[in-house]
Amino acid sequence: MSEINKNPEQTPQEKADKTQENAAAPDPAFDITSDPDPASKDSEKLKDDVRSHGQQAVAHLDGITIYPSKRLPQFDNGESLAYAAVEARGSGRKYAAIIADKGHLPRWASADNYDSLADASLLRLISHGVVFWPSDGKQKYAFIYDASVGDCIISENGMSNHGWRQTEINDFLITPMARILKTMSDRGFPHGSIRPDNIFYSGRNKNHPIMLGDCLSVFPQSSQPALFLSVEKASAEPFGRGGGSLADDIYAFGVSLALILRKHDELEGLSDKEILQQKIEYGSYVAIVGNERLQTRYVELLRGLMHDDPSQRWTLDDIDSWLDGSRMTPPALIRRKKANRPFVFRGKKYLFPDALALELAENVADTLKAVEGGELEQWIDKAFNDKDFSESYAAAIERGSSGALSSKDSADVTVANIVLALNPMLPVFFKGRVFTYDGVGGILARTCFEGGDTSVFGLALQQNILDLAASMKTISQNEVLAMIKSFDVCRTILRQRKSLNSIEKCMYHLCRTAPCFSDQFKNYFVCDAGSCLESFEDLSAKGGQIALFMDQHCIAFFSVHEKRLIERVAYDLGQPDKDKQIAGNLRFLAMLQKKAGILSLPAIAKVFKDSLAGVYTVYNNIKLREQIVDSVQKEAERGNLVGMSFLIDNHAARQRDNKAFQLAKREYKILQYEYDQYNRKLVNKSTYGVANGQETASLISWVIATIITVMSVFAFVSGYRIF
Amino acid sequence: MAKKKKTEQEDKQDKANPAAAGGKKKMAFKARLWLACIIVAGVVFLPTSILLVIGMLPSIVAFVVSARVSGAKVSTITAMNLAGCIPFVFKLWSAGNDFEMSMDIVTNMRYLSIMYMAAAFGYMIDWVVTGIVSSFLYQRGIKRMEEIKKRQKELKKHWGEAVEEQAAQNIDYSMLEK
Repeated sequence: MSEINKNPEQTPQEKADKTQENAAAPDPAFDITSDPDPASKDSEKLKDDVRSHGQQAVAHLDGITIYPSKRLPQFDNGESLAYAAVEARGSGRKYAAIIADKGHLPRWASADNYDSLADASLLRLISHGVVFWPSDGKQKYAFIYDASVGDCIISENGMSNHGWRQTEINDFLITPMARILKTMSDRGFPHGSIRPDNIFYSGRNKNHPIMLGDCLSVFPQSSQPALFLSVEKASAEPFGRGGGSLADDIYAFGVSLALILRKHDELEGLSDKEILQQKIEYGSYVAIVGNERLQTRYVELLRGLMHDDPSQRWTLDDIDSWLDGSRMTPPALIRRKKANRPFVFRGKKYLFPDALALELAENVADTLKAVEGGELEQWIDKAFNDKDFSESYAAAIERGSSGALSSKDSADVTVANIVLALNPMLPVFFKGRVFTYDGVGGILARTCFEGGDTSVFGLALQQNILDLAASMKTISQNEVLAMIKSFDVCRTILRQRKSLNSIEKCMYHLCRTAPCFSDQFKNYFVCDAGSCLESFEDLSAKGGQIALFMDQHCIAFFSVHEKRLIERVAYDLGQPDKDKQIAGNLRFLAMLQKKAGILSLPAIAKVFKDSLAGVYTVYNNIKLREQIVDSVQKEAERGNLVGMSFLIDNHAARQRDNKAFQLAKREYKILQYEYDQYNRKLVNKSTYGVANGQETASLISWVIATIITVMSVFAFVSGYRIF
Repeated sequence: MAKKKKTEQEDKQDKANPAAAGGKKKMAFKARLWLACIIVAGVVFLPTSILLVIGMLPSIVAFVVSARVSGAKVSTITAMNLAGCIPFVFKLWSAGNDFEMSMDIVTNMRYLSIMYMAAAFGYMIDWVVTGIVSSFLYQRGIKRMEEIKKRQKELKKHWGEAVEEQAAQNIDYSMLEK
């Protein structure tokens, strides 16, 4: 975690100012950024850059200084840009810091997994965490890698100048890549950014195995050009391509290898869409390799790696066998469904339904006309003579027309189903959005970040379009069932009408790497308990923060990432009573403080201290309440939310207090009754107590009478005469 | 017709509360029995009866007007009146319990005034003791009310106004009376 965040009393802006001051002073780190040679031109150039641009602010992460003014474009990964970083103390080693914004959906949760891979051909991750990025005035996520690698394997003109012979290609490129893929596959960790411009020589000397670049700073496959993606993934939007898989990495490796081996650029001047169409028309191998003359051994390998059907694509075992010199049987080419007569759509003739599907998806209105006019159905029934295909089309039409949908939604659902029926390899095309069955989480998160319409994805989930897409792919049954189970969870969330944040909950459930997109974290990168608390601390220190910290986005985020904790306060957070909500907020933030191990959060504690007046009323005894207020204030001064929460939510004390209060109420009630009785009786003083007095008088007179009688008896018996 | 209607109503009341209807008859029988016993005893002990009837006249008057006077007051007067008569009963019995002696006593104004003064003393006891006791109880009631207010004030001080509000809202006197 960054130093900025470790000191909660210092706001990011103050930190930035401080870092600017530090940067203005002579910084020994500048001398270390460049080559050890004191006369190094790089060092001077860096200093000049910093001075001339006035961007003297730097960012810090775990004792490493990142220089926003010094770019390292060779390490860029899509939208995530790389900058020079230097260890501030000790060796002064040079690093490359790749900075990811929230919207890039960096894989912060997978960083530790990556770090544990320990493969010599993977860039070594030095550190990662949230940093305050001074030029943008907001927090970003930084991945710091050891930058001591050579140049990129491919030059700027897109051609490789490796000069390797066949054995060197095997030893320096294919073998290490196969090993990396194996290591990653064992950990269930796809790379998602395999392409030539992300592969480096491991030193200035080219006679060493390659190094594979960053994959953490972007959402898997979101930074990949369409060329390196299979038809399904390439058709989808960058963040709708799913979390990636070993098969996707093998495909990307195949394309990368083909580009490294080629002598001519067959794809020059072609757009992504044209490449995609060629892949659909001719298959990936033919589209990419074209007329390039390659050695037979590599043709075999490339055909296997770039096979369009993931189930027939070569596996790691196949690559190992190939490396061992075994002659492999080239996988069979996919047999495309071909019509015996063409279908004319928008003036163009189509013989293949898979190619037609792409056009249908992009022209919903014309597709509907073709469906409603029956031309498409007639073509499918008569031009293929395939009963299963006809049934699949009929089922797609039926799915679109069922349910209580508006005519617009119904049309979109129908077209999405028809596209999948005609070409199961394509992703979901729905309401202008394109995403794979496993990419809905990523695209939903990105849309949420951009403030777009997320209801499209909710409707896609509710209409089971994603389930259909998953079930039509050539993936294992277990994988399909796992996906459908996940979609079922989302549908359950969406059905909960009380929940205001259902689509956000679905988003965080489907995209675990999405940081919290709450509006209050606009300038913060919140991905766990620690970063959440530090952001709240910073906001509280700035002032104007209210004690209702947990908004709907935060609740949705933590309902996925800290499910057990949020469940314990969900009732209080959902209450209309503001004081109960405040108590729930305090309890949850206290649990986060305990979990994150942050000792003091004085600014948050102060916000709570000023807002708890109503919360103290849970205690009825005024003296006890005063004692608790004093104790809570002491804990607030120490920034101890756990202590504050404990004092307010002390169950045993509350139970005792409640019991005593019930007894007090009962006593008060009885006393009031007694008082009312006296009040009523004492109104007439002349009659009050008369009955008792008369009874007493009667008793006294009978006692006297008894005494006289006894005396008279004694007198009579003794013969004494009174009268 | 009206009489018939009334009878029907009485029948209905009797049917509705047979115990009360039966009880009234029983009481009447008991009263008759007592009266018979008293008459028999009065005839057997005629001199003593004459003495007591005349000597206890204040008590008999008090009993007759007991609708306006409480039972305890009658009891007080009767006790003292009886205490005033008892020595003369013994005097009569020591003289053989004859009619003449009885008449002598009841016609002797001194004796008669002693018996009646005893009854008056009973009345005085009632007046004095009732006054003292009721005054004492009244003062005790006032003191208790003060104590209640003080205790309620303490409860409010410890528990706040909520203890009063909630008590007022949910007060259930019938439960407390039980």
